Amino acid sequence: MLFCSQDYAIFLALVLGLYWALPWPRARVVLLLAASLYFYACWNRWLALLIAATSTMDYAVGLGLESWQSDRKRKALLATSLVANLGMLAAFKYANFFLGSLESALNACGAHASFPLLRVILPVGISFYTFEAVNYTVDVYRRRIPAERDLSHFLLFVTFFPHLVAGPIVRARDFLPQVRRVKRWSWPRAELGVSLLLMGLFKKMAIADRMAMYVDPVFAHPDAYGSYATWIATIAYAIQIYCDFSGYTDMALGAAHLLGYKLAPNFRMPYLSANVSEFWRRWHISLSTWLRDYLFIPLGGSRGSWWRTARNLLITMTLGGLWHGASWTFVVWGLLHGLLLIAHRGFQAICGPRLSRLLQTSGGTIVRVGLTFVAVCVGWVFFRATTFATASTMLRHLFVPADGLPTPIPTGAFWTLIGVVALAHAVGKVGGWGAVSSRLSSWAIGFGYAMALTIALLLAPNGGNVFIYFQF
Amino acid sequence: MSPAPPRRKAALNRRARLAIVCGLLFYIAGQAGFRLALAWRPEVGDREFGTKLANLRAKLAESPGRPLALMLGSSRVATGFRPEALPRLIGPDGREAIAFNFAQVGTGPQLAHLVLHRLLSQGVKPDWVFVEFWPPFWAVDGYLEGTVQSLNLAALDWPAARLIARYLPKPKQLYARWLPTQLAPIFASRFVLLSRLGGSWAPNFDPDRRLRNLDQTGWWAPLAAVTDADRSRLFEHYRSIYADRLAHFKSRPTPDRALRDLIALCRREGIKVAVVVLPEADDFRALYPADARQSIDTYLTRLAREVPVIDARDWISAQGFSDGHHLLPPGASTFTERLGREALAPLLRGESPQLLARPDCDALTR
Repeated sequence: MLFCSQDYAIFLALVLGLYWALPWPRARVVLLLAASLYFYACWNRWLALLIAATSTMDYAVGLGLESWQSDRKRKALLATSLVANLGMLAAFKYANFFLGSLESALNACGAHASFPLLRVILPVGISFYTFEAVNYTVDVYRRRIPAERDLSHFLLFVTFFPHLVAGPIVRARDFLPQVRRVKRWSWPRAELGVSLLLMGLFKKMAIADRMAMYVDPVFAHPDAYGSYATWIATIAYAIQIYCDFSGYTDMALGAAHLLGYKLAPNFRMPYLSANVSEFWRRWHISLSTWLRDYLFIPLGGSRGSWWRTARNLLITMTLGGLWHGASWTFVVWGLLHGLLLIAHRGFQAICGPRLSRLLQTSGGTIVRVGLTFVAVCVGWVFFRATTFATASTMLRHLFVPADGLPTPIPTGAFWTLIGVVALAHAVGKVGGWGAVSSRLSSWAIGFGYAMALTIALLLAPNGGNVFIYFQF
Repeated sequence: MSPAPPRRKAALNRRARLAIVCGLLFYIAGQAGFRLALAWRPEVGDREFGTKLANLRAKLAESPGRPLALMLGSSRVATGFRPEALPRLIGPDGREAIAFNFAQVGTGPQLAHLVLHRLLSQGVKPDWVFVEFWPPFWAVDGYLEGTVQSLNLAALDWPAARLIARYLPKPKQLYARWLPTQLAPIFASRFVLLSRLGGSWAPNFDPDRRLRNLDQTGWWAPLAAVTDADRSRLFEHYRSIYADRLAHFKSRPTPDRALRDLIALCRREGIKVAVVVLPEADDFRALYPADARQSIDTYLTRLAREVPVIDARDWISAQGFSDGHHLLPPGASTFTERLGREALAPLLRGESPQLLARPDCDALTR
């Protein structure tokens, strides 16, 4: 059930109607839990049972971690939970990847190896809910949060349908107190939810899915297209993945607000970042903060030597890349970002005060934003390409002029949508939509909502594409 | 952050509520307005039907009060019936009739019934309707299921949707598709609308492809001429599509019912109706086995007891076709001129022409 589908609109309307009609908080939690499991079961009912089962185990682990005093026992319990959660993730997502890589490596060394492929379905959202479960058990282990005593509350934390399949990765300490709180209908909050839903729908249907028309044919046959089409495809992919993922997140946040819940924002106009470090503070924030708190800092963070910090950054970003998908192209994407982060730290260290002041000027900032965007786009080539051959052809055509086919379709729509994205960023930069809308009448705002929905429906492509991050 | 004072909170509540309600009302008004526009100007959402309707209205406006003869059918009629090649058609009251080609690509008897229904609901009432009989459309029950996918259901009102649903094996599926198009007609018509903005907005979608080389009388000439090699290639293409259907020809109940419903509608509305069997090239007619030919002749003979049937199957030689069954412009002129002279003119005068003069049919009717 896609967020931008008719089925989801009916589902959400029914859930909202029932939810606010129920006067009992407990019944609302049960309703949301049932709706969330139904939402997942629409895709695969057996894997909905799997989430319920692993979450119940994590719930029991949390209780054990809180009640047991022995460090050794607590460590063993934490290890059990981590092995179970990460093991499940590895089995479903990475088993074939590791077997395939091992086979290739052995064959390259002259040995004849042939491993069978495991026939497994990748559970949608497994990377997201695994990380949520891990943050809960680790935080309970660290005694930063108390263990949740109510199983239905805990199950709702993991399975809450707005964030279940593609995040944002919620923290137990943010979400569980909200489950306990009694919700009251609030029109301003409902309006916020509606505006987020519409913004997400617009980003996904009007922009991301349209950009895909410039991307997919070029990445499918990169040899056939010239440099211009390759640049258009690369920029279009940067816009597509941003509008696709942030659009999904907006819709998740909007649905949550309509139900009286607040999820953490995941994006803050990342393409306005002036360096890669800033990019990761603006892009997929829930993942980057998770990686920081549960991987980078436990590895030692930036407390040690320059080399140690660099090593930690590389490990964190490479594993972050692997988290996205079981492919070496994702690993290289993560590694590239790790190297860019290290390079940025190195540059900061050697950058003199004069150059630093120059880079802080408007012109310098534009150059930095531009360079960061190009670096991120190069990274997206590895992220989008399914093979290294594709990535290398794309990169060659990006930086070495090449003849070939023009763009798959005329670029009128591309430039118009680029203009829309640029305008939205400009408005966001000068004070945000909140500042603009506070000066408008309710009629004008309502008209804007109707227009956003109408244009999103008007520009929706045939069939609609699955959200990119659903595969992770 | 301190909570807002009660008056400020009430104002915020009112403002948010008003914004949501206004948004909903504007959205509904926009969709409803567009739906009305579709009814008022069908060419907005259905380019082929709407453009032909606009052209027909223009023709009627040029000479009001003249009798109207409409030809309905598929692309074969669209390319084959060329009203400007007709001799003058004089009605029984001495007024000259207007002839118009209202054929649309893919129109079998079910869609011909729909077209007539839509024309009547648009206030266009012909005096004569000539409807095509083409065996491949009668040989299958389910051709409509594929064709209906390409219809813009947003442009159909409830009676039209009900009309077409009755010819489908699962009418509820059509209603399930039709209802959302009425709630969001802009979404349902988006490709037609976007195509006006240029190719980058609606790639691989060209709603005007059937309007190119369309004249003001509804005749469509997508091809001016073909080489012999192209003709052979096109014939082979269509042979692979139709040969099997024709080899096992048997008139199916659904198209037959649709034709009879159309005839009944014409009678209710006081419209005279006739059936036309358009020309086919020799090699195309050779695709019909003897028993199929006999089955078709039997069907037409029975039909001729109810309505006039004009059998023009062997009127044009192979050179007049692009592919054995679609007429080229010269073939269309020859066919239309003869059709007008031998069939339409007498029929419009109220005479009974010798229409089914085929020996085998005569034998059946004796």
